[in-house]
Amino acid sequence: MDNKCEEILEVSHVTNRYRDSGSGFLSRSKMTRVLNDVSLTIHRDEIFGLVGESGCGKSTLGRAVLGLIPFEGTIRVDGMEYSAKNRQEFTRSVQAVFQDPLSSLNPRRTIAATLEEPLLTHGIGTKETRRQKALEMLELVGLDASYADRLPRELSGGQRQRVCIGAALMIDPDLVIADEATSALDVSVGAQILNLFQEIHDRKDFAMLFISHNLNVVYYLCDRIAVMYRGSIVEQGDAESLYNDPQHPYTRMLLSAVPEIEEADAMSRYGFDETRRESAAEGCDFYHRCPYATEACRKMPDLVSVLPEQPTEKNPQAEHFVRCWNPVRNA
Amino acid sequence: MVKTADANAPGSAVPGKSSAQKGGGLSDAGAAVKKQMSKVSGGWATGDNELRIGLILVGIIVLLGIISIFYTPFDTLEMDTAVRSQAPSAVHLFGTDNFGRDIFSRTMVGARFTLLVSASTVLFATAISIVLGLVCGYVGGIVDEVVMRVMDAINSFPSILIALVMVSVLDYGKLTIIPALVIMFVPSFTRIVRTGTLQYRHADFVLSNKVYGDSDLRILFVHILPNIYPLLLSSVVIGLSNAILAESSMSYLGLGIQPPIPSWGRMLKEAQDIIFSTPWAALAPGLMIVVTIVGLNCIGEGIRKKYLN
Amino acid sequence: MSENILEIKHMTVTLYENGGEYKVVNRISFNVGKGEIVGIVGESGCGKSMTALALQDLLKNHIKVTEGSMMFDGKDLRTISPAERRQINGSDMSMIFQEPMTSLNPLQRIGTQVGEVLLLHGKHSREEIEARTLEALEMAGLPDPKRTMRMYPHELSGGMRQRAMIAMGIIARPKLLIADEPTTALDVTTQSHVLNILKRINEQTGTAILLISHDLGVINMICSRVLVMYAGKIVEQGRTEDILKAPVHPYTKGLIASIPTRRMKGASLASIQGRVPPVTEEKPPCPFASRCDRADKVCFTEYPGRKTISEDHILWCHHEL
Repeated sequence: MDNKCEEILEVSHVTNRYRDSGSGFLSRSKMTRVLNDVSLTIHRDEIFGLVGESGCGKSTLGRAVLGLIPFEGTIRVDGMEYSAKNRQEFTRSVQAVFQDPLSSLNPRRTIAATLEEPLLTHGIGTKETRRQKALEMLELVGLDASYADRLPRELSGGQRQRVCIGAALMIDPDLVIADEATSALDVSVGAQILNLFQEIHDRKDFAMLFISHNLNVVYYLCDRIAVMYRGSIVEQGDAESLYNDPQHPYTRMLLSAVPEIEEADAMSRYGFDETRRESAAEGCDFYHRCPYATEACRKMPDLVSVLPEQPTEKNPQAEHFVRCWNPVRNA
Repeated sequence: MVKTADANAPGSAVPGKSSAQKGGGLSDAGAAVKKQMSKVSGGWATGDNELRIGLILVGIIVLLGIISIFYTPFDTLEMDTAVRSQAPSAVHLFGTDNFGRDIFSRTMVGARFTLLVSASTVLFATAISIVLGLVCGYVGGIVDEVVMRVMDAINSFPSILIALVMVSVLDYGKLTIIPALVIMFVPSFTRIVRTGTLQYRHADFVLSNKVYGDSDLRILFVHILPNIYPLLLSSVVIGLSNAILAESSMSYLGLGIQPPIPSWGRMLKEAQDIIFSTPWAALAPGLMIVVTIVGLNCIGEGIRKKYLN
Repeated sequence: MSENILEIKHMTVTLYENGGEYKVVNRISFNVGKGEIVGIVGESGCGKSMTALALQDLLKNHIKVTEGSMMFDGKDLRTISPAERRQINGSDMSMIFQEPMTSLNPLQRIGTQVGEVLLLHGKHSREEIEARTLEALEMAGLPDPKRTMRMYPHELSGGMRQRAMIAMGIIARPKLLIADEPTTALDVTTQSHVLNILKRINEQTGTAILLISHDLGVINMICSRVLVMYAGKIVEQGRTEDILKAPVHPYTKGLIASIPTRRMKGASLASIQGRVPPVTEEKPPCPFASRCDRADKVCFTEYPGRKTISEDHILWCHHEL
């Protein structure tokens, strides 16, 4: 296995801190850790999901991958690290779709202008060919060509999000980061966008890092999923393993809290008693809420595989890692 | 005496935390309530009426100024003692001054110079402010701090003082007044541009453009600046009217355009001296100033209502 | 004596804007039984929030209830005096909102704000207010109520603030609590706790709850009955399990099919084509007609009548499956 060819994204021991100046006049500032030694890899053409609640650092990781914020550690997209000098080259490989379709589009530029922007920036094509590509992309994302000369305010939320997706794909990136791409949309519109992602992903080659707090959506769309809590990945695996057999107490708690519409289909119903105790300074971040915590948990566990064997030929993506001293195994 | 333009309220395209569309009902209600709260309606509410009024008023003045290049009813420099201090009549629309010069003609030429001076002032001030404001807002940090403190310093000087200093350094010249006025206007314009830049700097679409690979320069001028135009436009128009007031004040004090070139402010000063013998001498320049200022303010308000809500 | 705490008949809420009249809620009728938890589900622009605001008399200026009757506990909310209305708001009928941070006064302690509700409704001694405040905070699931009472909103997390709002809503022992998207801004684990708290309040005090949400899963967690709204009209209503297991209206079916569940992995989500129409758009008598694959001429010309499928299950559609 030639790693370089297979991995489109390599995140290695990435940490991100910021100085929080505190809310009072004279309070001292303290360093808050948003990302804590995070490592993961994404294969080409796969859809990788990143879930977690607010404050877990998933959006921060997305921005770090895009080169928008500083961090410690390394992040390589297609073997390249981001630096101010290679911004042009770097951005050919990775693009993004953000949560709010309204503010993601320049209100004073037409849809076609927004779509052509990435091409312009990278010096691709001529005025005519760019226009042509923009129209093709409009079709790909399911919008009529007449939208090309309209302004964002004339479109609905779902239509704007389609434009954002189109713009991200204009220069054929290898990796697309979608940060809560459907969270601000109505349910039925969100479904259309999810379908769109699926369709486009089948037609074009690109990997996707899908960041969301919505567990249903992530399960539906993604091949592999990582669960984050307070800046660390606590569990990671292929969608089936993770949702069928969640082993980290936090994952179980998360899955059991998801409101379901079909009882028979319920993701998982694990009775969960909230426990509260003092946090362990150096240990597992979940220690203070974990009903299975022991003394060992005062030290941060590593991410270890819980699968008995290596990925097989049949299911090369099968994997399941947990960061826990006492993972919960199903009977 | 010289006003500075206020920063206007931001436009509706200002990004911020947008409430999820699910809360749509409440925000619809809010917008509808806001519209109703202003008691005006029709052309006044949309700013159209004000724009029309303003454009007409200013149009008249500009027309007078343009015509004065080619034709004035009388030569502005010609002193005809025979018709000294004559009250307004059919021949001399606004009368003559104590030198026998036709006041109306002088007002026309005054229009030309006043408008030129104010327009160039605002032009230069805007150009400088755009550059400074964009850089300060986008880059922030020490650059922002230093520049804004310099702006604060300029702001705190009485404008007359700056004008005096400039005049004494550069000597009286036709156009010495312009640099002085430019310096006076740069701080407030810069602040407006800077505020606008700060608002849009973190907008999602700016982020998207960074991700597309746009250079910072391109983002500043192609993406952020066009969104700040509406904000700036209204302030520029009001700035224009303030510039006219400023120039008139300077000329009144003798610091501006020097005689015999007529400037409204200067004419007011001269009128003051001859108030007892020639009371109508102040009528023309005063009226012109009022009409121009009111007209510009109407345009500014109209733009604000039309494009900023 | 009716067993309903709330009876709405043909209620219409009209928006007056730019010289036009738009019906944001269009002749809806429904009941909430005493001690029942009823949900209203729908997407943006369906009128669910407007319904809630209309009930709490929070509509202002040019959005008004223009038709219909709203009977609360036997009284017609449209005809009672403003004084009586103010009496009801906050005590017999109260409301909690989506965004607790903006609904709480940042300059007042939690205990003060929660207790203030009692000050406005009836005469209570200071000790009684304090006791009731502690009781409400505890019932709302706030740990260590004595300490929380003295804290300010910014010292609490989002979930705790929402619980404080719940405490404010229940302290006067309302007969009906309206909750407008109370958990939309919360994490999924916090959401689960808050919904359980609401359920427990309902079980322990018999307070009826009208829960408004765009999320059918949330509705399913605690509501025994649900109304599905679209563009100002109720299209289907019934017991929650009936609606979810055997939906009849095309919109309801489409909405349920839009939610990705386990079984759907790998398949296309059967989404509804088109988009939710904005409030100001002209709509056919059945507002869903333009997006419905079963629509025909009658849907564009006549109001769909009310059809009873079973005892509790009611449908507004020209067709039937």
